[in-house]
Amino acid sequence: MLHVATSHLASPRWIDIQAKALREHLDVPYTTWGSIPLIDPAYGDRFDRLIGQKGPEYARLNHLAVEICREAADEDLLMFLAPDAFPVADPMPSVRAALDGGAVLVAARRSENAGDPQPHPCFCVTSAGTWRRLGLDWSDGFPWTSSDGRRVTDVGANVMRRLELAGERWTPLSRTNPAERDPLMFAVYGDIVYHHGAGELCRAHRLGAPRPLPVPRLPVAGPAVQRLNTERMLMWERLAYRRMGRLSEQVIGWIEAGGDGWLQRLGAGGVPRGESR
Amino acid sequence: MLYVATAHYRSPRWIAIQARYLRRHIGVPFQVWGSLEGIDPAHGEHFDRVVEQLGSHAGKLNHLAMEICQEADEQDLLMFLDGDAFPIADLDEAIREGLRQAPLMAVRRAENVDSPQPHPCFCVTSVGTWRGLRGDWSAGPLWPGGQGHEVTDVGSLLMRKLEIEGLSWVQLLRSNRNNPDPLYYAVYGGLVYHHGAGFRSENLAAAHRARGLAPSALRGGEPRAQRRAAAWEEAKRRELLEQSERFYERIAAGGEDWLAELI
Repeated sequence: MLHVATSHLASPRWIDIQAKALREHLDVPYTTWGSIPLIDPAYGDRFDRLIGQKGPEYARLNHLAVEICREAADEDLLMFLAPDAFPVADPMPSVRAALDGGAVLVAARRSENAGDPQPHPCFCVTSAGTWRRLGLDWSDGFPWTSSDGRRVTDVGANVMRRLELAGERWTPLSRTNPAERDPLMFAVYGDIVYHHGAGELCRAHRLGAPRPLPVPRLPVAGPAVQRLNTERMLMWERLAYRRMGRLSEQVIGWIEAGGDGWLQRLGAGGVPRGESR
Repeated sequence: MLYVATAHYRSPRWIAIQARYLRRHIGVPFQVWGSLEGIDPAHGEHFDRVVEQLGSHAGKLNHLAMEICQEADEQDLLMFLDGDAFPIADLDEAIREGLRQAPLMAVRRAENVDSPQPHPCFCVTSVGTWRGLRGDWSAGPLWPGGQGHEVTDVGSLLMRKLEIEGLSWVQLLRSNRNNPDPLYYAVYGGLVYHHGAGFRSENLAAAHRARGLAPSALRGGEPRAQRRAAAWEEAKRRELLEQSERFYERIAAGGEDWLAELI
């Protein structure tokens, strides 16, 4: 059995899109375990199991995994899926190939986000037995150096560290469509899963932010340049969010129109059902 | 060996105080593993091991426990302690007695609108139990909060895991005789002090709102009422901060008069 864990927060707009894609691309028996904090409870009927929960995303995913592992057999598979992520091809051949090849976990790796090295919960598959045995958890904590030289952490950091300490291998799924529309959003990983990814400005976006002007050590000019830097950054963020919102709505419109045209527009091409590249 | 896991954030102000009280009230061999996000690394000298980490409080504690469990033996003890918490009485016998009763002993902040979960401001268990439980300080599972909404907080997933495994835990409840604040300046089980307004206290806790002092507009209402509520929150926050500073100064000055005032 495959157990899909997904938590939709505040907006139901991806629930039906995701459910349809799962029906289209999963050939194995599966159960969806979801949570819908701040969403009309009527949407609960889209899930096989609905779990009441709140808190940050990593915590909700950890909790879903606890509830699933309570019932699942060791060999059952556990699939984490971001609310705005869904398969665009049958993921199971890639998953099986990775797990049969000695990896204990397969996950998206968003290296396009300033070099992120960790498994990302927008798409991750492992066995219930592995999740239990290693005591995995999606929280942040363990740090790394991003491509712009800063020490950072993010969800999935502690999964990466735990696997490293246990000497276990994972298979990263990298982005397979071009990032010409946006450095991070609208991503297809391993040709099997789409992650919309709009919402927050991430490290990948901030690489394009204006560099602060050098602040002179002068009583009037210093604070003035500092204020100017703050204003420039706020202006850049406002424009970046506006652009993100506009692009996001455009792509959602393509997806909602149905068919594979939207994938081709994103440079991923249409992947026929039941096939993986 | 007793491993103490503690995460200090942005301010070094509690580090030396905590270290002093740990030395005073722990008799068994112990090591302090800490993280110092946003703090001058020179303060690392107060720790046996400094673990570099960033991010959420629950994530940091999970990560610290992971690093400790990599080295520790099953029978070693693991103690979580908030940066602004420290023992005020000898812990060795109390821990032995607590863990004779149940595999985990922790503060329960029942005074915070009856929070039911173990709180990481003070929690002790064995490394074996933490590994077996796959302990996790994340929030997630819900309970009924003070204003009719379901709420969650750090420790709720640990509570759920204990429940699933059928394990009981020893709850250390607030034991102050005097309460200058409904939540802060807390003594639990006569053993541990938790300042509570230590690092990330910019938001008021449910306990402060539940005292009936907050304008009802905090739960919605007209724009004018909302402005009044925001002003109340700001004033309350300032008042708490000033009170916290006064209390901190007394603790930092040494002596026990501050404690005598609470217990």
